[in-house]
Amino acid sequence: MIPPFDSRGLLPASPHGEGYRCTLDEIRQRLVLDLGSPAWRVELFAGLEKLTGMVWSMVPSAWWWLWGCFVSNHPEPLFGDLEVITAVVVVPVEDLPVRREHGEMLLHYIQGAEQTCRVDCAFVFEFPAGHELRLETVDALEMKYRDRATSGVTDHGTRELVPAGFLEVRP
Amino acid sequence: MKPVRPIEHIRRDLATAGAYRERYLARPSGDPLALMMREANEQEIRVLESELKQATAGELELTLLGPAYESHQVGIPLLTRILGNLQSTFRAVYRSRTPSGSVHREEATLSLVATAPGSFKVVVATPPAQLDLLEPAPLADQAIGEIIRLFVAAEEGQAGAVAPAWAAAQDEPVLKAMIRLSAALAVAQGSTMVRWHGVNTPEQLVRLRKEDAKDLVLALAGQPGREVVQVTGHLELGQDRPPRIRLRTAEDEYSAKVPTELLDRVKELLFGEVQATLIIDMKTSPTTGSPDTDIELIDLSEA
Repeated sequence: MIPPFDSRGLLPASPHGEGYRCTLDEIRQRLVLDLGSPAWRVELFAGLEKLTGMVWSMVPSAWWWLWGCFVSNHPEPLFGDLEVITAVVVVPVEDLPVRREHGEMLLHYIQGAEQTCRVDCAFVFEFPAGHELRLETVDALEMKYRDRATSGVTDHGTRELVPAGFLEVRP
Repeated sequence: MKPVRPIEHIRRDLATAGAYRERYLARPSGDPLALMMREANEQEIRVLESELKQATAGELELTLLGPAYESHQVGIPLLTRILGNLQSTFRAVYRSRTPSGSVHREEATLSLVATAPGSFKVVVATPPAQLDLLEPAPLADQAIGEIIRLFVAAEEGQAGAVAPAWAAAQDEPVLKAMIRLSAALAVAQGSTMVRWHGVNTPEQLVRLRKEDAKDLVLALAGQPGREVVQVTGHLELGQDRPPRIRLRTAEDEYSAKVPTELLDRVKELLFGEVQATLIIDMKTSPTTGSPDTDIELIDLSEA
């Protein structure tokens, strides 16, 4: 569930650096409709919906972390028309498409999502607990993406990052 | 197109991608999925390094405005003259601000990164600054900043108030380079719009009319006993070593020293009708007290 924005207009940072679990419907309600549906939020959400729809159609168990200016109550985007949602999608390996070319197509789509969906999206393969390659997933998430997701939202005036909470989106 | 992000953000992303890389470099793997994640990270590091390089370089845009450029064309001799003088002024100021006085060529070399219509526009970038030298401003920013400050003074009609004090504090090569640059802009038709965006400095815009540039030349050269003249005449070789030219006008004949950076232009225009800008220094011999005149060519173009 997405908590209320704090006095800075940001989600409070979670004590353990966890993302706030939510659904796409909650995101639409809290980050688009409740904030007056400004055009930039409507457009970014439409792109997110398109990307998640495509990924979930092939890997229904995929889950996401989202952070950045969109995950705040900022009335204006930081980078104007160039604003994107920043995300990483975590793809459980046991649910990857059986046919290799389908998997490649999926990754290709994710990597091009900044242009096609306005979501700057990275990917991480999730090897299950106990798998010999589990550390690959843990390293990517813990050394790279959790740090980025918890680094917060850029202050429009100072351009410095202000620590804030982030979202974990599940189907 | 990606937005220009603050340098700190790029560095943070590089740090996290680097931390992840350190982990997997210690653990070879042949698994195709693991390799795919690692390759994506390597690719991202390459992109971030390139983004950082761009973010640590200032950008200077020069737009030549006026009827002469309305067809979005400019003569190569004029363009090379302006850019060449900009480069040599930048290098001279940069070198003079370097504590050791020694500068690697690439660290003070501007790059041409774009041209565009409008009326005719060029964009040059300063070399990327070292990350630990970004505060308060990289040397390249400071050097261009000094040039821009003089342009701003000229645009505001304050060349006479600002330039002499600046000139008095400079070494001779810096001063002459700045005079040459101003002289090149003074012969451009119309005016020159300059937009400067340094790494750590807010954007500045200056519109320098040719009259402003001419005022700047005069103000920079305005020391007692020094005069800047523009003459039109026939160019001849005066002496080979050290190089001197002879310039015959309808009324006078001048013999002037030629700085190394103008040698190629002299060769190109030799025996033709030219317009030359000369600095004339009137000196008195400290031992004999006899007067002497020293003339140096600072700019040359086809008449």
